[in-house]
Amino acid sequence: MTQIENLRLEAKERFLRDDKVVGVAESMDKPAGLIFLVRSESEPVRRSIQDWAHDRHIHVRFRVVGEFKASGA
Amino acid sequence: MQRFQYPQHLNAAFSYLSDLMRDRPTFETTDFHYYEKAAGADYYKNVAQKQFVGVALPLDADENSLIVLLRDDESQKEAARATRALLRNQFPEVTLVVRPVGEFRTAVGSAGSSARMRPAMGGDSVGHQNGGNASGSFGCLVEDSAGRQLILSCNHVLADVNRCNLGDAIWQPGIRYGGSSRDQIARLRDFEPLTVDGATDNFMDAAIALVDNPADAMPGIRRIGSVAKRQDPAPPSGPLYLTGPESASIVIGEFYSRSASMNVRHPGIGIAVMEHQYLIDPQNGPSFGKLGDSGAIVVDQDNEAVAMLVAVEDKHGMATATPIDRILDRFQVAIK
Repeated sequence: MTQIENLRLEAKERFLRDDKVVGVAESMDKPAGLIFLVRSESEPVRRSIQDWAHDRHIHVRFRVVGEFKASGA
Repeated sequence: MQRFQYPQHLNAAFSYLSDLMRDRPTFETTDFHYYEKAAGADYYKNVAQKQFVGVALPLDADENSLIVLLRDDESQKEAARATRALLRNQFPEVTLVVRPVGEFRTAVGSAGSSARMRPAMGGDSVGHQNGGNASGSFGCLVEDSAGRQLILSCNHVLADVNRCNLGDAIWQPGIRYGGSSRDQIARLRDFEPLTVDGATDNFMDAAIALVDNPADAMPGIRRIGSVAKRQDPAPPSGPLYLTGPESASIVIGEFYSRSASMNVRHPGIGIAVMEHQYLIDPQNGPSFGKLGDSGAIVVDQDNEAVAMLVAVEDKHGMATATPIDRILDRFQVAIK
């Protein structure tokens, strides 16, 4: 398992339970990093993620998204 | 999808015209004369765009020409002149062939998807007998080691999120499109249980159903054609394609991430945490698939199956899809 994958799994355990975080994705751009898919620009959530990322020296980005719904009718 | 080797300048001219006509200019130029003529170019563009239906490469790759399909009415000649002027400005060596045409319409209903189809195929509507949310896309036809034909789709389409019994009826079309017990096409054979507690990892949302009468289902995906399993284990870098009963045309997308952990809501049931998923952004429309397309197969530009659609995001149309290899391995089946 790569370092970025380990960090994604750690981030998932830590932040995906939060209603405001919808997903955690590995970036396809350089430098390697994580993209947090969030429901809104909530400052406390953003700060909490940035603090976590800072401690681990990892680059993070945020993308505001809606809700992912199972695409059955 | 292009399968022939065309000269580079012809491909570039094709992309230029295609993007320009759809108002998505992607080219960059430092040609001063181009900017000087910009006012004229805008006029030509406006005239040509109104009549534009499509652009095509010639069948013979040696022909130094592009085919432009323009709506056949009184403005067609002026639009042809404008298109020629636009192309001459950037690609003076390419000849333009103008083909007047009518309007192309999606073949929904008359060509399957939401209608009852026999034989049915990938992209057509299917669903579990319980109905409700259990309606989505026939992903594609697969075959087990005994040569039995099975329909591949999502658990929430064929197995109603575990609220099922093996052997339950699968209808084509699904109840969303008026399917009933008269439209039974298969019986639920197997499914990967889905945990919707918002905490447990799910690696797929998938199920298979055994086709009652092999003559009632056929390989391939409607509007896309025959499909094969992708040979290269690495995900493709080019565009991705999908069609399903709701999209009713081919939608184009591109990878946003090749590995993501996602919360997916199953309305009225709960949240499923989907692990190791693809994220795909739409390229040619508001969304990469729609609610009702679940189970649709995502293919690359060579019609090789890449993933299966699981969920669509409701603001920007981003989609979650599961790598197809994982699903085929789970059920020990091969794409037919």
